[in-house]
Amino acid sequence: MVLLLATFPSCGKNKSAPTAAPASTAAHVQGTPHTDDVLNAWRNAGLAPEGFARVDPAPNSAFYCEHGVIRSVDTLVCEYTSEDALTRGAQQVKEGWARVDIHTGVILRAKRTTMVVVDRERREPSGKTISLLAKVFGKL
Amino acid sequence: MRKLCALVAGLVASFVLVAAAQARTVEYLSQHPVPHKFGGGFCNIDVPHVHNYPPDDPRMYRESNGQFYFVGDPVPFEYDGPRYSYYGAHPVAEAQVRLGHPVYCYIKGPHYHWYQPPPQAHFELSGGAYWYVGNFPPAYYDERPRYAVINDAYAPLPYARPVVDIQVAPPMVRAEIAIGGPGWRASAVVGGLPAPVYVAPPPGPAMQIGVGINLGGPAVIERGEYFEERGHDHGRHEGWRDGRHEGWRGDHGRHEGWREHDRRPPPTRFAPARAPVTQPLFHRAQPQRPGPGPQRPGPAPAPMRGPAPAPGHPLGPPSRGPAPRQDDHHQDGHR
Repeated sequence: MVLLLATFPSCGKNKSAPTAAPASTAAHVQGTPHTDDVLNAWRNAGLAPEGFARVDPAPNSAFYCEHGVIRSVDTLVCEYTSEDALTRGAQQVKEGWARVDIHTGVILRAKRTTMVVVDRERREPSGKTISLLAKVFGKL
Repeated sequence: MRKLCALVAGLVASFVLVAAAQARTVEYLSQHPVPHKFGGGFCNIDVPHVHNYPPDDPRMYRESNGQFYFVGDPVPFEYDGPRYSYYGAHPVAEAQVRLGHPVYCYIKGPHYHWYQPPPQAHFELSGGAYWYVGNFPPAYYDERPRYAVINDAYAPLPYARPVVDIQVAPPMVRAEIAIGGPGWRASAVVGGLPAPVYVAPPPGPAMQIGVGINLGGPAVIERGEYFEERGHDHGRHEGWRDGRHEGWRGDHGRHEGWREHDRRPPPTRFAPARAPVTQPLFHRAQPQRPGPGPQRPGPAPAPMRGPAPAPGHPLGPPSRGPAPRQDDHHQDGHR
């Protein structure tokens, strides 16, 4: 599912919409930045996360994920319970990029939380939004 | 009909699979120019990321394990972020961190980067630019033939280079200014378009640099103490030196006129041991004589003092010598 979201974010969003539910503290991973923290940090930086909702991650991968849009750029935030799971999840994302034609893709980690940004339609060729997302995320 | 639909669906699926198999990603470790065919401009993402296109000009990149780091000047590519002026070659600390080995910028003359040098690095901020004043290891010289082609890549790009006052350049690199800045010596020749740039040592201790603008004509602007570039000098400050200048017009960028030290080893400051420099690195030209020097045509011949030609004899102009004697005239065969 993470792979699909990374490569086909709109499909992932549509699938996840019916199962989206308010995130609870129990659903998050301790010891790593929570998705809410990430979104709040972006909001405080002047970015406006839109439509973020919980999605089901792939098995043996992330524990908690939310997908949304920031300035028309598809964004996925995931929390992992272990390094191995994070490595697997990141690998799946990159393999998905290699199979599907994306214009821009970024995956970063802060402890065991990742942000995945995909610009499939060259909506932001200058990359300034993605750069700002990465800069804020890197400070978590 | 159902079979036909299945066949069409199968063909479409095959095309999709083929297209998907052909899709590829290229990983970038830095900001970089966007190729024209993908819209042009500049990608400002300064963390590792991927695109579906390779670099437009690999001469501006370092590549390691399929990852590309842009080592060039971003200004010609619609870059609008922070910029810092440099003069001459220097280490690139950020690239070293990301690629895991030392990386050097080989751009000659004044240029921009988006980064400041790290505080612990051996740079001096002087005259409006950062100058690398540390030692270059042998790897720098080993890799230079391969990576100095970046100057060729920038040669045809018309953009404003930084204004650098070389009057206050660090003393240890001042001698190298005429040949591109730190890390360069006269043997580092780059090709490309003719560079309307020359360096003219003025009288006295100050160095004089004039810069031409290569935007439609070979105009040359000469300034007494200030160094300004509005066009692009292609990193080749190769013009006047030792009083000789064999011209940047029509030499196809070779500028091979004044390099009598072309095969000299690196300057002393680049080598841990004493370098075998046998001649001064920098020679002052004659005052106010930026033109041809030692190889210019010799002095005009002294006035003729020979005998005056006989009236009506078309030997040449009249001379100032003594009046010919009558017998001399006869010895000339005119009897």
